[in-house]
Amino acid sequence: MKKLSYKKLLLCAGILVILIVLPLIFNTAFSHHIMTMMCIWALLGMGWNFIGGYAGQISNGHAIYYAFGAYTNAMLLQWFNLSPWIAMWIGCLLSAGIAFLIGKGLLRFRGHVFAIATMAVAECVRLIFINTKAIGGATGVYIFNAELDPALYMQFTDTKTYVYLYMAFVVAVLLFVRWLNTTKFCYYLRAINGNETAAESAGINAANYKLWAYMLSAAIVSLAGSLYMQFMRYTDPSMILTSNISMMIVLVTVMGGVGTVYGPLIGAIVLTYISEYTRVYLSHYNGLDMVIYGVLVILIVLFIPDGLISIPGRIRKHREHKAAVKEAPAK
Amino acid sequence: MTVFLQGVYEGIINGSILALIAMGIALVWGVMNILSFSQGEFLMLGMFVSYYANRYLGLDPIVAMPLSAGALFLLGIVIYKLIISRALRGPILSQRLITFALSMVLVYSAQMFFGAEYKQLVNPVIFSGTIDLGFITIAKQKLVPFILALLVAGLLFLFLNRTRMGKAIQATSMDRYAAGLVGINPDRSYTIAFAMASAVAGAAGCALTYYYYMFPNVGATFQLWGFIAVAMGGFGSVTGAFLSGLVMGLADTLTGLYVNTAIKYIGVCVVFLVTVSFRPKGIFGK
Repeated sequence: MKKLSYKKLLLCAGILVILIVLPLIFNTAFSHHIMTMMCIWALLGMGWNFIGGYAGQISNGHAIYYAFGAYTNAMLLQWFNLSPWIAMWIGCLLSAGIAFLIGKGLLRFRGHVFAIATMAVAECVRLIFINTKAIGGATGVYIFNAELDPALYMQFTDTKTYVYLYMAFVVAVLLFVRWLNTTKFCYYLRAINGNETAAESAGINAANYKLWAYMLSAAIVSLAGSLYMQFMRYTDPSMILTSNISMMIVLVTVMGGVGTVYGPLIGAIVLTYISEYTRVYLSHYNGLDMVIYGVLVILIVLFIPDGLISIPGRIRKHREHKAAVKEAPAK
Repeated sequence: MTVFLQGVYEGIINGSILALIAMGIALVWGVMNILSFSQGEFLMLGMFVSYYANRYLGLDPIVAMPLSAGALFLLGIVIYKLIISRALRGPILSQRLITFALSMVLVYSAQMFFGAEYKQLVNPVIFSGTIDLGFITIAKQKLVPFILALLVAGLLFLFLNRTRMGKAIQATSMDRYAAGLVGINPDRSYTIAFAMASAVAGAAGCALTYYYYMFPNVGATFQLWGFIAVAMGGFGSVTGAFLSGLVMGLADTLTGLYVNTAIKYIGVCVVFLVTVSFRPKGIFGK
């Protein structure tokens, strides 16, 4: 184990202090709502990053697992009075199982066809959900119950608790992703992403690893879905199973930096900030908020294609380039 | 039997619209390797052009069709020059997201300017009424998309294979740099291809106004189905897109007729997934 330098410890402590203090400074329910949504989107992005970033298979249908996570929470609570603390892990397993089935069928396709196939399957799932009365159909599910014990059933009245709890989840998953980044698993995924044929000729079973990555991404996205359900306490297929949601999951990761550890987190923060503030301040112009959001997304993706996380690197390179040009006088 | 024939007829009509959008997507995909998420929105804009031409100028949608196609051709050129040409230099994922964000901008701009209510054609049109052939009933309005789809498919085929510009576009899609070496301007080929795709979508929108409601989000459903048709038809094949669009329309209507209207889409998806499992590059794919 590496010796922890004082600098790193100080950085971690500083970040911890900021995280604890942030919800206290911005103490309105709206700010807490934004912070909670940032956490949820960060989880979504980090989950998708495994299949989209590391493995390079762009899946446009991850809303399926988001919905499965949310609905598992809700239905297990409604049918068996099961606490979400347990139900969320059951949801993860269920989503991983479904990802296994879907992945087995779809991961043989590459590139655009895979994206279209995942979109098609996501639409199918949405229609199935809308038409299944047992889980609420088009009217959705709703789990708000004031008589339940808040801690046991994760329905807090104080929004600050949500923020801290979800931040803890994000930090935990982030550390997990950081650790996974150094393992053989991610190493092989990067090899597969680089050149699948070459990786296979080196002995890596590409299909298996891609399937594992897909199942892992489904599990994490499902976790985010459970947390979303507990926060919103209501959902229906048109809120979480649309292709817009699937694309936004992709957007969050790509804007931040696809295939990096911290990229999805940054993307989630920036994107949630933009979308929530434009929604609040501009939506009475009948859709202007989404127009601004779309325009900003286009600009960011056009001019910063490697994601926001690459900005420090680019600034540094720019400075080095300028310094080098200055040192070598024009002949 | 008559029910089946009527179902087949309706399916073909339904499939014609899908075929039109699919041809646009296939053109853009085949030439530029971009999955254009905004074709559905061009359809929607075409519908609105036709609606406003009908409301304020009293034009029948058939007459407004060249107007709509022309307007969307110009819009396609502008969008290509401003956005897509820059996007092509970046990674593929960014390209898709840019077209997705573009589709969002178009949908919500339409919502801002045109309002979100469902609209229908106001002034009377030339084609109305039905032709009753005994075994099937043909609504005259619904013939328009089918004839349009055949026309567009034929024209595109002729354009791509018999004119110089068309062959230039095909050459650019095969190898951009080699095409540049022999003197073809790849940027111009891409512009024309993209603009043509949006013009096709605009014309399809005009044809759709005869029997469909107009609202900003109308493109989204057709978009996804267009994607599936293109994936089934094969990468870059316009003919494949046309045929699989028709097949999908048929699958959709017949599933709705004989199984259950709620899961029509699943029938289509099953057809799609089965086809793509056996031929991953699509039926006519290269």
